[in-house]
Amino acid sequence: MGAPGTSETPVSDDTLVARVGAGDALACRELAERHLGRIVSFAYRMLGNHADAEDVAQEVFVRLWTHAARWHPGGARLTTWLHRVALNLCHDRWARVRERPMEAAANLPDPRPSPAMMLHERDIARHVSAALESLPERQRAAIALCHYQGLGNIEAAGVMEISVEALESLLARGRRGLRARLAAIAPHLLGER
Amino acid sequence: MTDRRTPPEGSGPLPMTMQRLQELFDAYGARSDRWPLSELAGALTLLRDSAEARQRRDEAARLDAVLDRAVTRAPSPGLLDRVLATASGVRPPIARTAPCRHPNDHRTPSDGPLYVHPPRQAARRWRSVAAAASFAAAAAAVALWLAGPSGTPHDTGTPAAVAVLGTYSTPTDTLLETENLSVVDSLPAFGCSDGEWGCPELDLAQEHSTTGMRRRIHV
Repeated sequence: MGAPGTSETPVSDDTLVARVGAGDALACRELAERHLGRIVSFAYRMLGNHADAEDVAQEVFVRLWTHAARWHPGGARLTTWLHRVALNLCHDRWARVRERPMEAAANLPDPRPSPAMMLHERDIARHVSAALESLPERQRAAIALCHYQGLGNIEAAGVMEISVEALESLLARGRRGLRARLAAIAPHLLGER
Repeated sequence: MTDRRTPPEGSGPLPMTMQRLQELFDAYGARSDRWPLSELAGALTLLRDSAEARQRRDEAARLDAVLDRAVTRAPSPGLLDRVLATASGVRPPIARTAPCRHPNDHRTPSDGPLYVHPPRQAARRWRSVAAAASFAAAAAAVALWLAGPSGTPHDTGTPAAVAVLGTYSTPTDTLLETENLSVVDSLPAFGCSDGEWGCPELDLAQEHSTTGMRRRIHV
């Protein structure tokens, strides 16, 4: 335990971004170590593919390095900005998938539970992920931001550029849809018969 | 989380009803740290006092627990190095290539891409250089003019030559008249003479003054 008054306060994101803008490689490393895991996790929730999620995360940080010199301290939180950029990149990928409907249909999970799925509880995690992927994009984004990323409702609404009320609506519809899908797979987990 | 919805300024805590509590469960789940701060106290009070509220919370908690079992993926071991490698290849954009914004554009980073300041300092620097260059060019022109040959462009010769040759001040037709010559007869025959092709039909015999003839020809 250090002496009183000598404990180090974590350097703020704003300070680190300013240092990145000045070419500080150590600040780049600290920011990446601080946020990379969360952004990968968020992109994975959105895309359902680990390789794509890492591509998105890498692009998010390329944009951070590029724009760091113009970062406006005291404005939006860096976490908000990172999630917004990640969400926009995910939107771009969805748009490309929509342009290839046959391929997209092949990649989307089948939301209908099979008898085998109902029998194997060990696959719950995979089923939950599949259920998330089957949600409409905006509902999925709302749940990913609030439930999995732990963002507050105001910050999550800011990332999605919607009102808090609209966010609540997306969350409620998303959770209702998930409950319906998961109840068909593992009703006992939800207290249903 | 600290940035939950806050009540309007000057108002107290929002009243909590069973319906609103259910809306909180539906949207945010059972964990109170995910609820809006402004409604937290009322929701907790209702939970303490109502068995039905607690039952509804437990239903929401079961869904939360299932959602928490979703697959999670950590970054690959090499991803951090790849991300840091991109940092070494990226340079901040040159200021003059940055998009300028309207003075009334007050968007912040939360509204989209990072705020971009217009390159005001660079513009001021270029304006100063341009002003200095203009002044230097003007000074050089004045210096050349002063250092050049004296006299005006209208001087036709030295004073001695003028004394010998005199200064022309009499119209040509007047000079010719003293020798019984007509200025019309002395005109050169060139150009179009056929009026059918649109040539001007000049009645030069009626014109004897040099200035008058010039005026007609140029009509």
